[in-house]
Amino acid sequence: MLSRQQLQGLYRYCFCLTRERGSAEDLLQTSLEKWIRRGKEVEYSHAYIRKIIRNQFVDDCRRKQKVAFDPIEEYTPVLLDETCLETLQIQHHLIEQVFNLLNSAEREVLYLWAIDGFSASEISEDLNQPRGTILSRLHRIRQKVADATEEQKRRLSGGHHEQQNR
Amino acid sequence: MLPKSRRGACQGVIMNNKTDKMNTSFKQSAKQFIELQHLDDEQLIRFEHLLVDHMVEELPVGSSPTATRTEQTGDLSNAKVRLRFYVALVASLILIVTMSLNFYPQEPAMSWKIADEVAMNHINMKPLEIDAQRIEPLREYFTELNFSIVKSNLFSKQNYQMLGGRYCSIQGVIAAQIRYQTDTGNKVTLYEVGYDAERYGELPKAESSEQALEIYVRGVRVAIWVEKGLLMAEVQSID
Repeated sequence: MLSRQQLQGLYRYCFCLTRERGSAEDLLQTSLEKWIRRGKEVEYSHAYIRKIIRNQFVDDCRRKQKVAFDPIEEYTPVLLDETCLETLQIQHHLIEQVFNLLNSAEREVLYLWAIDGFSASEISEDLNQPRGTILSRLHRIRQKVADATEEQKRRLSGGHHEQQNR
Repeated sequence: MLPKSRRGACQGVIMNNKTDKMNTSFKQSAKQFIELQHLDDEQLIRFEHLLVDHMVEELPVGSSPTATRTEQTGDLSNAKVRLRFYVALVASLILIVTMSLNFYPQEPAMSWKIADEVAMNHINMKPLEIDAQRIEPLREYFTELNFSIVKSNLFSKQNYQMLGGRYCSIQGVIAAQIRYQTDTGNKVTLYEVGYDAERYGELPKAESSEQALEIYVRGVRVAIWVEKGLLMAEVQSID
């Protein structure tokens, strides 16, 4: 039996993949039903149930003819490592905007990094993807934070200019 | 000017002095935002029922080696029916108790939950998001709250030194943690969140000169009260 805290953790992972509360709840329900059907001998493991959720998310996207996780092009810029993201600052009220700019693969990496505290190597091992791919995704996240911050600055300075011209 | 990194090759996002106060660690912000997403009580109960119902299907088969297959199947069916009945009874009782907590005063249970949560936050002592010695910069910083933080008359009597603040949550609602230091160097944390009597139950009101509710949990002392329309909780070590 899962504790409420475990259910909340898994729900948040589903939310990061789907970005939508209703879809996250549906994804969690379908995944838990699959997990339960595998029998009592399967003990609770956060990582194991996350894999079930991830596979279910991929299946759901395929059915809707959507791409679950955008591929990374060759020669995409990468971060040196995740410590480059540790020093990143943001105006707190922009976080939701940034979250909505990320694709599902980036939101998944964000969850593993920010919530589970994984390093790039640990994320790479967990998702069975090359470390370079993870570092590319982290770079993209950082870039989107920078873009959102720049956009905010432009909006504010644009408003300031309007006031001056009145 | 770009800040220097440890390896000399990372480039941070440039922030000017004006916006510095409003900035917070991206990792903390992301964590906070994701942790704000949660299943409500009704959804949690539905998932718990889902898990309980399916546990019935995993009944271990234990029968005599000499029993025939038909007898074994019969025994299994009867046992399954009985177990289903007991599980349904337990699930119904859980549902009745949970729903009744919404109708009857839940002061002891909810107060304890609040105390436990703020005690954990205090023990974890996560890094401050903003350093401040006065309340005005904190008020400017906490733009995500749906209330304005206030100076507590009750708390101010103790004359602690303010250090700063960070966002947190209390029972799923975004709240403010303000950190102080006593003259002996001990840390004290004060939590503020909008007071909702339906959610948090009846609590002592400072304006009515009622004594704050004191709860000892996880080795710390927690005082909870309502003041100026906000639920406040103060946490400090017992020693």
